[in-house]
Amino acid sequence: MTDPEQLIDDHYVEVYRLALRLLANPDAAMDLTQEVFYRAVRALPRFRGESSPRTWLYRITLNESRRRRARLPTLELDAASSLPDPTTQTDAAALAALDAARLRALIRALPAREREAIVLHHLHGLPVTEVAALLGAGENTTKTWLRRGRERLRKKWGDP
Amino acid sequence: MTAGLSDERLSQLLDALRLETERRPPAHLRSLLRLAVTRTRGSSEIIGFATTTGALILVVPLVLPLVVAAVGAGWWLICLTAIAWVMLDMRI
Repeated sequence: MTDPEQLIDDHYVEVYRLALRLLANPDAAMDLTQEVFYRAVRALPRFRGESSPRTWLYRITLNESRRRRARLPTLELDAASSLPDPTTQTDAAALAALDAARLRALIRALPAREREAIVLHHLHGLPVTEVAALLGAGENTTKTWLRRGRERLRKKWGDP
Repeated sequence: MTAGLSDERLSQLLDALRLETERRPPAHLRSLLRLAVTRTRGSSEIIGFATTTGALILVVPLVLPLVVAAVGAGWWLICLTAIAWVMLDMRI
């Protein structure tokens, strides 16, 4: 049995980061992290340790993000106001910020499985085996999603 | 805007995005989560107590008379059987 406080201390940073990467919105990520731990603590007596606590929390995060993503606006007002002001930046920094914003938008527009695979593997740094387990797919299927997602991002980058 | 994007450049951009989101959560998040745990525990304990009490309040008055009646009926049945057996035995 894992202690709830210990569970929070050990994993809240990585759950928040995953939530932020999945939803691309700091407020929504905060909210999602709270929901994940609320659900996890309630389900803790039934947690039998078949997977690691981290994988279990990631699975809850992923499921809850799918549910929330449908009703998340494309860009929150707070998030929009927190975008860097290009006039106060160097050219390189402004271009990097624009590139990041564009890439975020393109990732958001990917088909669900490709998006999740890209986020979990490339942004959150999970190995393909763990991504496959989280997405409930085989490794080869996950690699295909990653390859297609990357191809789509590269192709769409040039679209007006 | 360039037409398309090289795989290497995409990797660089993804890496930059990963670093950008490698941030610490807001300072008060941990406190919020711990508070939520305390509340969840508290509410679970209250629910557990209420469930047990409610079960006792509902079940005891219903079950106890049934048990008493069943035991009483059992005794009556034993007594009547015994009387009947004695009467039959004595050919009354």
